[in-house]
Amino acid sequence: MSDNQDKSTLTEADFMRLLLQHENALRAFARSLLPGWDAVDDVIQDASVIMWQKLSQLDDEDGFLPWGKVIIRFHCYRYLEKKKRKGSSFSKELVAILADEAEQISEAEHSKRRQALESCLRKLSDPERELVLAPYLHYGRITELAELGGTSANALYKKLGRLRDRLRNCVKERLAHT
Amino acid sequence: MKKTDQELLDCYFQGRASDDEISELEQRMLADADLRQHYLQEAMCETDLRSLALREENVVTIPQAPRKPRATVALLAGAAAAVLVLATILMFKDDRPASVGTIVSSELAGWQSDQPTIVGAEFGPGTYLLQRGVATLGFHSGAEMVLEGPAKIEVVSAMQVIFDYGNASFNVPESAVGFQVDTRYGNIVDHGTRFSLSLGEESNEARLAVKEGEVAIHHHGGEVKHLFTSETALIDEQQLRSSEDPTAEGGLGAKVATMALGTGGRETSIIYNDQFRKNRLSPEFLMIKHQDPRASTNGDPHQPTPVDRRALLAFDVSGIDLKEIAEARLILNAVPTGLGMVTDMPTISEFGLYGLPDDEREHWPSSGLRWVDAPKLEESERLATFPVSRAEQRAVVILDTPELLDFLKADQSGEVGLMIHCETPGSTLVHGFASSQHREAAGPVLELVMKKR
Repeated sequence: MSDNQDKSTLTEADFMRLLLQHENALRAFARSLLPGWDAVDDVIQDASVIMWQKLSQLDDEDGFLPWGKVIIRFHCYRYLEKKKRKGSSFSKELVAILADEAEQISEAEHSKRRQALESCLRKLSDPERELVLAPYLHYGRITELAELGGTSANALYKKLGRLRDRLRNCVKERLAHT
Repeated sequence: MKKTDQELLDCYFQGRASDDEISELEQRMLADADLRQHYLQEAMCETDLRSLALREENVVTIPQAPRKPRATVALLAGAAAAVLVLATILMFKDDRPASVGTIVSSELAGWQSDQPTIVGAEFGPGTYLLQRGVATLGFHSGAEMVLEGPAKIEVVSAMQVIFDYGNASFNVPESAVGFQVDTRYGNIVDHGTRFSLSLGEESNEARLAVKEGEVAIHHHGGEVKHLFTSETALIDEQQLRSSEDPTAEGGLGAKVATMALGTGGRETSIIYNDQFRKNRLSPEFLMIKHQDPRASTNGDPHQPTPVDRRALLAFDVSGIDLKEIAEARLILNAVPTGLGMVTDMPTISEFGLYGLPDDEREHWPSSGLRWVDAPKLEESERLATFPVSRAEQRAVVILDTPELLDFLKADQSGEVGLMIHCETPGSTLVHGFASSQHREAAGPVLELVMKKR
């Protein structure tokens, strides 16, 4: 028996609450190490199973995010190892550096950024907001929007780039004033 | 013209970067800590935007939702093996219950879904991932689906399933005539029958075998074909054809089963100087160390030093038809033990995986084992070697050598014993691999892919 077992009194409900609370931070961590969203979704699913199985070994709620990141890190490594012949991703060396640095990002920092982003998004017009969110809905959505609007996908990507610049500057400004 | 850092990042996150651009971005990030910070901030921004986009899409694509959508996260449970699995998918949905069937049975099933998957639970429309095991879904229409993992399906209604991959048998009574199974190559409409479907995650063809009755296959290319009792078909992107493959007859043709075995606690570390045992061997780690004998007081280059460590692990393979193993992979998670200094180690340490003799020497106790009583390296067979960098103490190691496969297939005892030894003489660092009790990383896993049946 491990000395670490039965340390935790966290319940299923606690686990779900913590997972929900930190979901975006955990996904962002995985996205930092993986080349695309499909990979992130796969890894998060697998890692959440392990997190659940090992929940009793977690000391307290405060440790959830760093603990979860370490588990996700292993699953990212495993994913990259298995898929290394398919598609492009960063080298193991860079992924390890990014993982070390991303592990240092706190929930508070991510949360501040998220709030700033949401506030900045509200400043965009509806069509602008739709364009900014389009790449995440499904592959080819930008091309669809381009066809609907009688323009080229390339032109929309350029427009998207400018909108993202605006958002980036807005977020930066907001964070500077908090 | 050379792209700016931001342009490269945009291309990367939008999935539009070429291999050269990814390589260029990598070089810049390795050299620039500020750019890496910016990259991590972009990853956070990407995640938040995606989360918002998906949330908004769900709001607008459920026109019948009468109330304000609410976030739900559901807890799942796999039954027989008490494998509890959780979905992390944030769902926004209508408040009305939408049961389309019941989980009838669950044999060692490990599910991932956003819905309850215990036996007897009602299930609704949604995506279901069966990682392993076999489960039976009984639809309210009367149709029954026996699903073998790994499999992924999307239940649309009591009369329709989108079949992403996996192996399944369907039993469709008269009440459910018209039950439809959509695959990436075409749709199968049942006219009252029993049939089976096999489609690998990365396979480029689906195999269909009708055991009894009739089904209609509507290929995405436009062709429609009816299959009757004992007939089989292969469906791929281009065409739909009757199968000449005798293995496809009467069942899940060309089925490839994969199983993942854990150690179940059959693992331990040994240390040459047993007096260190109590406080230096943590059950969380498989600890390995090979100190340069010249650094030791005994100075004998052929003897282990007092602080040398090795790890032993075993897998229960009784009940597995070893002759039928087509591929075998041992997966280890390297983890830092926190013991010893990294800086005085060789850059790369080479490790050896050894197979223990298939006799009483395999019968080591999982705790309290002394070095002198442990299986000997020189009596074991080297099955694989692998490097671990001192700079990369967290890594996944996947070993799939022919020697490992042969060793497994030759087992007679029902348990295969393995030893991990560090081949490179080092200094103070204690290398570690996660044991099954590690608090973060998964313990050793032996993955077996069985031959096609």
